[in-house]
Parts: sequence; structure tokens; C-alpha cells
Amino acid sequence: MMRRGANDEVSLLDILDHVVNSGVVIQGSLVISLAGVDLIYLGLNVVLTAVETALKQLPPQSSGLAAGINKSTGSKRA
Amino acid sequence: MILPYCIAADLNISAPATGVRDRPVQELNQEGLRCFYSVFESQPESFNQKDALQFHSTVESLFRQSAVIPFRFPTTLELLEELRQFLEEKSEPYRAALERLRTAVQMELRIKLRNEPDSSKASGTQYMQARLAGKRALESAAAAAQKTAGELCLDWHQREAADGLRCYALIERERISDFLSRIESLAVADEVVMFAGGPWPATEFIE
Repeated sequence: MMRRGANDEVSLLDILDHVVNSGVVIQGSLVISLAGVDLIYLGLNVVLTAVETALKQLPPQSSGLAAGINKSTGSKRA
Repeated sequence: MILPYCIAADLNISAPATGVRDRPVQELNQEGLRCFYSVFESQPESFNQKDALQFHSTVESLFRQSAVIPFRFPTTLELLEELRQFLEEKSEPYRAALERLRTAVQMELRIKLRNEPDSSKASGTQYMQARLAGKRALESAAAAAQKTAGELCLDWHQREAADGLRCYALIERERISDFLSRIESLAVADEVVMFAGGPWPATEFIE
């Protein structure tokens, strides 16, 4: 079954998923609460990201949310 | 506090007057890049869902006109100088990416199983076999989708997600409806559900 989620039907969750998961991250310092979205706040220099992104960025040998550097942005993850 | 929205290179696009919390959208030109942002006199204690949607609306307004590289919400900076420095450092790859993606957009497919394998009743072996079969069904659907999209796809990425498989197709902006028509006509296995979405800025195709 194929369902369309095109322009006129973009769900709220899709939009929120994109704004917090896609794009460039540089330094920041903010705690956020977005209702209905599962977010993690990591460290003093942003990385604010959804769980999926955090897990994706972990090095393979990590067993948890260990310290690391997001190489694409230079952001530090605590 | 500076809240950047996105980066563009196209000189012909214009930003909406206001963005998040109705703050004016301003522009920083640096190294051939145009960065759109808003200034907040003090740092809000927290942003909320409405802010995220206003952020999206601002980026979307610019993306409708041309390729953009969005910032992840809510990336914030203390000083405009930090943004200037960031653009200076990234000017070369970002200019190249925006030129390469000038007329392209990202379409997305979320492919998932209608029913996840039930781990409570099956043996370990049966469960793992069911998972393997599910994984193959997802990959088969993704391969079929890519084949169906054919020459419309300038590039294709896919990766596993918590709920299945996510596929990203880079296509020309003017071929969006063609892409969706082709994907809608695709017959996939009964156990698989496929959702199409987009267009989005081509963030999956930027290094």
C-alpha cells in the first residue's frame, strides 16, 4: 500500500521531525520543549536532536550516549 | 541571541518579513552566501511547537523559491560574528552544494512493515527469521521504488530507521508530481506500507 504525504498533507509530526532533525547545527545553548516530540538535550553546546538522530550518530562501538564529536558540525556532544 | 533559519545562494529570492515569534527576518551576506536569521533581545527560556512551525514556515517560504540549507531548529548563537565566522569557514562547500542542488529537491519514502514480528509467542529462531523476512520485504520495496522512479532520481540514499526504512530521492523540482505519480502506481507487498513525502530541502545530499 502506498500513501502520499505530499505538500498538502504534510503532517505536523513530519514537519517537527524535519525541523529538529534535518539541517546544519552550530553552537547553541538552549533547552527546548516541543510538545509531542521525543527530544534529548545534550550538553551546553547544542546538540539538540531526536533520539533516532542521536543513535545514528553514535560510533558503532558505543553502548550508550557516550561523549563524542559530531564531525559534520563540530558540535560537542556531552 | 541569533536564531538562523537557512542559507541560500540565489540572489533573486526574498525572505518573509517576520519569522519565529514575529521577529523580523534579517540577512547576512558573506562569501557569496545569504544567511537568514532573526535576533532576540534575550534568550527565550524555551521554544515551543508554535516556534518550530514558524521556523518551518520561514524556511519553507525561502525553499519554495530556491535551494536552501536549513539550520536545525533551534540552533542559536550569541553573536552575529559567530554566524559570520561559520559562513566564512563553510563558504566553499556550501556554495558548491547550493549550486549542485540549485534546482533539486528531496523526496522521502518511509517504508515500514504493517505488522512487526511478534516476539512474545515465537521461538527465538522464528522471531529472527520473521525479522529477516521483514527486512528483506522493506529492502525489496525500496529497490522497487528506486527502479520505478528511474531516471527521475538524480541520487538516492536510504537508511534503516527505528520504524523501518527511510529512502531519500534527489529529483528536479519540476518533476515532483511525476515522481509521486510513479511511486503511487507502485504495487508493494501486502506486509509493507509506504509513505511518500516532500519536497524538502536536500539535506541528505549535503556533505
